[in-house]
Amino acid sequence: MEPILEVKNLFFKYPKTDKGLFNVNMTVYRGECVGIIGPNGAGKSTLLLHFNGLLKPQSGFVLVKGLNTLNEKNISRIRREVGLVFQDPNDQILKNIVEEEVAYGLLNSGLSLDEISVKVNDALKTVGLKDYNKRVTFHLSYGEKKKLSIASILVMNPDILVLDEPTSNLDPGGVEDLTNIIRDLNRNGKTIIIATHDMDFAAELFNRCYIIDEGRIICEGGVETVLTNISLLREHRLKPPTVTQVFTGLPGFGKLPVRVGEAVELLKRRLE
Amino acid sequence: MLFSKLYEFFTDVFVLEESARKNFFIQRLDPRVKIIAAFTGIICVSLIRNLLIFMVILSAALLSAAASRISLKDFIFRSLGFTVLFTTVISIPLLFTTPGRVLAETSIIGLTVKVTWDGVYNAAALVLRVWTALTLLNLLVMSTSFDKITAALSALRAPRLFTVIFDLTLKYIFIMVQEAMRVSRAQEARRLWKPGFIERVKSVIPVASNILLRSHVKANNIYNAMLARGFNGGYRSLQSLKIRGGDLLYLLFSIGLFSFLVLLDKSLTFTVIF
Repeated sequence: MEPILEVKNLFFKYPKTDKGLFNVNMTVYRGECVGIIGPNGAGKSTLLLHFNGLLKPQSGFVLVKGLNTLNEKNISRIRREVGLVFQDPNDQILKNIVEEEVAYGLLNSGLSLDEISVKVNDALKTVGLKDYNKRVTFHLSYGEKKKLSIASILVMNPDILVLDEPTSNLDPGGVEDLTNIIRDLNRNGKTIIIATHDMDFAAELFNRCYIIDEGRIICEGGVETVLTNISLLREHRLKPPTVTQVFTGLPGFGKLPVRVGEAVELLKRRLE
Repeated sequence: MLFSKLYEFFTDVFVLEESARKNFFIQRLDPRVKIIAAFTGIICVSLIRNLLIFMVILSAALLSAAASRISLKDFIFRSLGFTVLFTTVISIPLLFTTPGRVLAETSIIGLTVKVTWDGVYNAAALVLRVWTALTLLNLLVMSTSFDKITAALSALRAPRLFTVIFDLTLKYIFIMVQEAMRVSRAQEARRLWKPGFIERVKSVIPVASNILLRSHVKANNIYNAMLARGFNGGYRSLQSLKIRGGDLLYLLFSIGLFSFLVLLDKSLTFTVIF
């Protein structure tokens, strides 16, 4: 598989604190859906800001499709390749009208207004906000704002979509909608990187995940392996997915499920 | 309470823009035409002195607002409130310092204080000048969404830095008021008694300091979000502006009217009308 994003020996420390990232190494391959899981303050958001070149490594480097984020000449290209959706949509929404908001990135890119209009409609359709073009962003629900912030990144057609805590403050319906949107995007070839500590969401979506704590990568592996390592998760103030917790308490199942669907299959087999 | 009111006001002015989103006479005009007309009007207002001419311009602005279904209560309150607060206070010394025919005279601690007719006229002219200028600006703002004003400023080749700052300021003002309201609510939720005036004034200080700190974080987040979407210091909008025949007529009429009023003002002899 072709690596699309590589982080090598990344070191970054915020001034006057002991917080930062320390010797982080990771590789994301094209078409993957990768999770970065960690408790609050682990360094997840700091790491994501490096993918887009918003923060620069103090040592080590980040390569996006082979382009080093330390090279200022690459930044414009890197920002087109890596779409970053921030945790709080209120920090990302810059315009009063939905279509103006979605068009913001494209207007910076110099496309014609006609092309922009087509792309804006497509992006809004993808996230389920068709016909919202003229709505006032202030009137949208939190879930709708979250979708809007994804649309405003998708419209720029980045190869890599990076989302910071996308399920925070969302109701269960909102999480389900978001899961479906991200899954569809991944099926259509987008590489997805998500920082989260929502383990049920992580289990449903990720192929692979990294556990990060205190600015260091603790482990990496398939979700079935990492999310069932209960002692490791607890050591880093994390919990396994709900179904995994339930099956931990049930004897005789052997392999622990991480997704609801797997748990249902296991139970069906046992009942038969 | 204060911040809730401010929040409501800013939500209405900067976000909902209800009157600007209506589709009547003034709202339909091209924003560039409205900006040029408003600024021509303001220049005219700064050149005239006749109170009757101020009243003519104010009446025309009020009529235009009414014809465009802009709430007259809001329209008058937004400009008059400001005028009464600041300009009236500033104009008070004019009553006593302008030489002319004496209206009233009194003695305070051996000092003779005279109020002149000319002083009253000058003070009234100053208040009316500010009120009229604000009314013209109000007509522009209440009939045009800020996105359109920014797009028009950009199209009129206003300095790019000014346009970008104008665009961002609107967002920041709103966010800061929103933050102030949140902090103030959190403060109120922990207060067990109704605060007196002094206490309310005092409670603004921690809100202000908190806002400064939070605004720094917010500004950083917003700037990062802009950079992540390719912000390069430029300004471009989805608004496609088109000048039609009606816009040209309005522009010519406004410039013609304001020029005529300036000439009329100059030709009228300065007389005290009280």
